[in-house]
Amino acid sequence: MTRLLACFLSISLPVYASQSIQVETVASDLDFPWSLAFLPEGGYLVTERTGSLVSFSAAGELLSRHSVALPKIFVAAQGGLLDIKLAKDFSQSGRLFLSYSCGNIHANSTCLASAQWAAGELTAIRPIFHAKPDRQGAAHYGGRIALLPDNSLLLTLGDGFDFREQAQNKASHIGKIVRLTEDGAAPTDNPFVEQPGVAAEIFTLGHRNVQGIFYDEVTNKIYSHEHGPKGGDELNLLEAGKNYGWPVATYGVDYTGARISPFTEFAGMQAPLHVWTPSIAPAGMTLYRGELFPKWHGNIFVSALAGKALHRLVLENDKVVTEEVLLKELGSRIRDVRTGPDGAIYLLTDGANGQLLRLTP
Amino acid sequence: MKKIVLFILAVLGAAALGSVLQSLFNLTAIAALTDAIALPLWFQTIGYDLIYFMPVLAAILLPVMLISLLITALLHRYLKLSLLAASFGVTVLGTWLALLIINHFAPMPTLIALNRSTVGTLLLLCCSGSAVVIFQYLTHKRRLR
Repeated sequence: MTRLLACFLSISLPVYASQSIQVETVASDLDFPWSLAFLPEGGYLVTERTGSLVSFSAAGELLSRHSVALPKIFVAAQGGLLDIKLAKDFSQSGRLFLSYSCGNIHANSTCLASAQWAAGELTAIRPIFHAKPDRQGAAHYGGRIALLPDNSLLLTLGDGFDFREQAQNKASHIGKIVRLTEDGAAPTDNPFVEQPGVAAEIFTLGHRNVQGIFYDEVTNKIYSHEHGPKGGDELNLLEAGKNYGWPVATYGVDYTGARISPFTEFAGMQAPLHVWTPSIAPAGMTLYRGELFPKWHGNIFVSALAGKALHRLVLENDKVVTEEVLLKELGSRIRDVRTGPDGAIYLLTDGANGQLLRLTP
Repeated sequence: MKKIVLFILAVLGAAALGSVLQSLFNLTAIAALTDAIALPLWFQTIGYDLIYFMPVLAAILLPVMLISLLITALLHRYLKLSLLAASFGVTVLGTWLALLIINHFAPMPTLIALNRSTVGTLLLLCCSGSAVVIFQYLTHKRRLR
């Protein structure tokens, strides 16, 4: 049967929120959707963790679904096709970036590829970065991409779960956020360039599993969030060269209840702007600069998997002063949240029957 | 009744020892990243883990040690294997299999941090193996003499 038909069902949710919200289902039957990009001519590209790239028209009609021929893509557990980001000159070049897990169960990592999107086809797929070293298991890949004004890009990475101490090892990409040129090289103004024994691609270190990053053009600030273990999910304000503490400083404990570290904060390491305990499992982020929700201008939205909600954060002087939990009524794990070019907020719900939702006032 | 109490003590002893080992491994790893950890924090962490982690480990080890005792009894009776050696071997193997099964079904690659390294895993296996050996010794003292 047709897998993806635009539904455009409109649901008016009971509103306990500071703002009434209409929820429209733009598309459904998505297979573990992970990320969303808006095409300049209208329409959407959605990555599915299971390895496909799905395109929709602006009206939500399924246009194509392709299994992406990424070299050595490794689809297992938390791994597979992850984020998608259109290059700034996408309208002219058709260039985009895809992050994915690569390798096999014994030796895998997070990889980044560039590709061309034209006439509904993905071509010229070229791997440009492979986080080193490879590790075992299929967890904690990070995988989110943010573009910076100088056309460099940030790629978030994870600690592979079993290798948390490596997040403090500057020779390794594990547990880091890296900054790359569009060809995957380390920019010459990266914070640790030319330091012996240090990976030149590193932008920040001490991360566990970063699945949300947002560059705000208005304030020139970069926000990220990361999964804590049991408790201790964090919202961070990123600065080049800074250490975000994992696993030395954490507000979480291990899933077994064991203590990972006796420190919640540590000298020389950046404290989070906000902590979620118990964990909400943050998985996507946007900072709202649209016009449909004027009251929410400048607020950060965080999609939560375990929390099954959308969190709205109000920041003042880099401190979270208000948090509102939205869309609990949906009861869905929410993988990603984006601000659309129309000012609407878009969500991807997680699962084998994932949905693309559009929020309007 | 005495056997049940001794068995529960054996399970708790194995879990407590495993918990302390895990605390020491975790703290050693953090100390390597931070120069040093003050002594009170070592004791606080060991205490914290005994309260919050030890019960989890005990819940894992209890069925493993119980099944190991049953299998050991059969091996001792029908194959005439040394009671203490069989107890240790079967329990160590049983604990190892339990960890493999848990890690296979758990969402994370390795549930128990001590199980991330070979040395840590061997020490954890020795905790349950030794506890069962002590239990067997205490409950079969006369026969073993």
